[in-house]
Amino acid sequence: MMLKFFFAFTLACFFHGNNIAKFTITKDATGLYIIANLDASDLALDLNGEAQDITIEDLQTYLYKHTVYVVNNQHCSQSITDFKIEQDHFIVTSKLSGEFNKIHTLRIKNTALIKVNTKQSNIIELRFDGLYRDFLIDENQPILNITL
Amino acid sequence: MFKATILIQKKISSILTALYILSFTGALAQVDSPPNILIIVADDLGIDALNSSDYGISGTTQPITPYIQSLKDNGVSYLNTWATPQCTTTRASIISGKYGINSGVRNVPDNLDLSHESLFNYLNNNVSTPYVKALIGKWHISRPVDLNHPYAHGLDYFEGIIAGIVNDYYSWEKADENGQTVSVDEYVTKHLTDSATKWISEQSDPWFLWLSHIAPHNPFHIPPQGTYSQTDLSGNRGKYLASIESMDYYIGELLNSMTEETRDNTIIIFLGDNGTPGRILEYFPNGHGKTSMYEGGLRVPMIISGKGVTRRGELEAGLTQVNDVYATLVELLSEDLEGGIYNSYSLAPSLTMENTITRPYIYSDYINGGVEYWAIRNNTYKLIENENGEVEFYNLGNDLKEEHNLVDFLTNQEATVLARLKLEAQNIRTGWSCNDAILNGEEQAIDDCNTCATDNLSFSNIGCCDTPNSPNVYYEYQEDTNRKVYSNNYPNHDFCYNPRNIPSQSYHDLEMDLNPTITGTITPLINQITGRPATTFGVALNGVMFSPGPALPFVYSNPNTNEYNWDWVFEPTNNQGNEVNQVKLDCASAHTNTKHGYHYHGEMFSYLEHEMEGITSARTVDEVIPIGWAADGFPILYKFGPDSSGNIKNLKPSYRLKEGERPGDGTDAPCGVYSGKYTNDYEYVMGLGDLDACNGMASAITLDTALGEQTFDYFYVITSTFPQVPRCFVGQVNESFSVGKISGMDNDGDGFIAEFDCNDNNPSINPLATEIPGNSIDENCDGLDTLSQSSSDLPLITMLPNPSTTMVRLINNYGFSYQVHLYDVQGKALFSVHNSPEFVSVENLPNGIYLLKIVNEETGAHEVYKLIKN
Repeated sequence: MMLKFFFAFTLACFFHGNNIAKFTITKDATGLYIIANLDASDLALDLNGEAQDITIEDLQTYLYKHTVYVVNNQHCSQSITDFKIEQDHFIVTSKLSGEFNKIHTLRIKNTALIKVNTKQSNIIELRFDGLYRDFLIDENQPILNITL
Repeated sequence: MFKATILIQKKISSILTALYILSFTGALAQVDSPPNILIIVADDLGIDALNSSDYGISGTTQPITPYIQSLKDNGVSYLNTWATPQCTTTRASIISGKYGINSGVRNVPDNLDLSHESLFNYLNNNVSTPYVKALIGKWHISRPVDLNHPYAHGLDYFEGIIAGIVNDYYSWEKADENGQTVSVDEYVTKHLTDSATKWISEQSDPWFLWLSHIAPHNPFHIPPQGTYSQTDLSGNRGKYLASIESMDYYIGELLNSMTEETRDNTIIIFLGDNGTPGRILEYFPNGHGKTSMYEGGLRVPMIISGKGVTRRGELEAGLTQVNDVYATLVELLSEDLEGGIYNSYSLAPSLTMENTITRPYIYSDYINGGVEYWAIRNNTYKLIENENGEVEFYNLGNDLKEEHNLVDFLTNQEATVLARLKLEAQNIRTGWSCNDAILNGEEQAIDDCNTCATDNLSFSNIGCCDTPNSPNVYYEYQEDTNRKVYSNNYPNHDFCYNPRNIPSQSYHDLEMDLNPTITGTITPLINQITGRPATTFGVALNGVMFSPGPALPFVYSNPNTNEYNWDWVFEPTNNQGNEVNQVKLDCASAHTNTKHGYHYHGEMFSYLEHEMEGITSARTVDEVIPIGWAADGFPILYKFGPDSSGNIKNLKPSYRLKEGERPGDGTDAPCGVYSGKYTNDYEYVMGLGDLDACNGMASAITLDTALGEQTFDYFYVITSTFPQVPRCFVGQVNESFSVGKISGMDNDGDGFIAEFDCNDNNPSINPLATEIPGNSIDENCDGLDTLSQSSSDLPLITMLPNPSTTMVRLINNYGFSYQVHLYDVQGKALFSVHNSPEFVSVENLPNGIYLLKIVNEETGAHEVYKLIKN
């Protein structure tokens, strides 16, 4: 067991970079949604807890702290509508406040998991109004200004 | 001869002592004293004819050259020095500091135009110390012959042969210092040496002498007695070597004629001007000597010794050229250069320090028979092209003779190197290189025109680091007209992973057409609208998925907006390593996604070797190797397959790197040479290899499959070079390959989820379990407690009669050697018979049910039959 741990630890040190989380922005008649896909162990590490102990309130607080969405120059709050764990990942769906027929600009700040992994890549996926565009947020560039 | 040897030894001792003192004290004691320069050029001296063992060349006859050896022992020998393939072009390169494409001197004879600032004029114009400059011997860069040409290029003194050759070493003509043509009846090398000796003795100012020997160029005339040691002068090679030895003798004469003070204050450069002529060439193949672009024609000895050279007896492997003499001398005599000047790279730092030669490429060009040739190399590989589009590519690391043109056998890595060499040659030929480590052209700083960063490629995988600890399940069966595959997508071989993404079982329910047809429409693996993978390519026979398509974050992103551009996705097999922006492929060219799904991106070494040791390095095989099924139902073979003639061969893809540079500017899309960093760097060229755009072949092939023998009209191939795993389909793609994993629980840990397991609480019961008939348990989940046989499968043997009373006959349906083992229904072994018995006696057995097991003695394959004794 000790050897296994040592092996995994060694590998963890050996590998670096390219840890990704996805934040998929979708839209339907009811509003604008963010589906966040976060590595459970990283999230637990960032919250100083165990993955199985993370509550919806923890997630709400975490996302409030680490993500900002400004849509058409309007700051949007977010509320979690669903969350589940799949294959060591938290899948968290949040609804953004406000009503948007047409989205012209998006300003996104995202520092999720960057503290626990400096090589973290947070992928912003735009999947609404026929868009299929992806952006990278990382430690070097935590803010995106997107004009659509 | 004996007296001559003693004389030579005494003189060597004197020279060695002088050079030792010179190099030891030179840089310190004589810093302020302008050095003299002595360049000695040997005509037609290749690396097979002097110190050949330094280059890894053995088995050639060698001259004995103690004085050149003394220069070598007290200086630096540059082992990777290129000249051009002929005299004129090399001399023009040295004097102009430029490649032929820039000097305009492309052949023999030719003229070095006065518009080029010669080395001598550069020194005249830029060095405050008034150097006296002379060239004695061969000039050969004036056309039409102009006796004033050397002076126009800045020389103060010229004496020698303007046209460059003599017909007789003992009877020839020269232009004297007054420009008059005079006849000489004295051995050329001695005469030129004496002239040089006299000229040096007359100088009181710092001097620069270029002693341009005719030797050892043909005609191959025997030198004066006492100046050589060769004993076999019956052939031209012997005379040629004697000529080199004689030249060495006279180099000794010259050095000994100088005062110790003068010698100590002299930098000596010794070099050849091109390779050894073909008719006396050794080691290199025919046609690979002088006038060729091969190493036997281009590579020459070069030694720098004397004042300020503190590296003594060292071999320098950096890439150098004879035209580097220009920048080296400029830097030694006048000013610090930014790397060099024109196409000339300064070797001055290398005279005192190792590892200072940083230029990545050297280049040479030449027109031969009206056809322009050029060559370029890096540390290992060399490219030769000509204006007719012919290309040769060699690994000089293991093929100095250049006998194995790799153009048709490129690995991905080699293809990338070839593309870079091509582009670099193109840049050199159309302007100034941005990779030559020299401030030249429009550059404000060294190579600042190179705005595109060099792609960071990785062709080495991260290896194996773990072994499987879960079952490997691949279950193939037929359902209606479909081939069905259930897989837990867990490897049965060693692998490795990012600890975050440890492979785990991910269950797949796949199906494909049992009898696929070519639709006439090519279906890409990539969704042409989104740029994302639309499906996996197929499944290997161990159940692991082939997913060559890209995934985030391995996609080019705009450095300003951070938006990904899916037109430019990283080609995983060229970005295999563990650095940032590399995909970390393991020893099976596979990795695991964030959902722990293991998948192959390229040639699956670990898997293949697990199945067939040595297969990945095998050059030939006797039979094709089916390795999986594509999503359209066609088989996937490994590397080998029947060519259009039906012969099994290593099939080649028809893809290559695009030529030149990407159209992007480095913002929205990547810039730089098509290196293979991105999948889009490659293009399909019909007919380039054996395979089509989908890396397959429309050719009938019959295979033994789990569902019986089948014939297909098409097959795909996993190749060693791009694309390795195909990227498109010729048949109808089944949607099950784009669904991804299916959910389910495997309670008994046998790799089958409950939906596919008739008893998910017993790992001994699943569709792949061995059926034990008659025990009231359906081990293999076929709904029967009997041995099931596919109607299309003939059993190994046919057993008659059954039931039997005394004897059963075993009819061997496949002509193999087998053993017979008989068990009772509790599994207790009763007896065994070897040597393929046709009859087995059951007469002494009690009535009842028995299990008769047939084992193939060669393969170990076995079948169990129920036998009833009555």
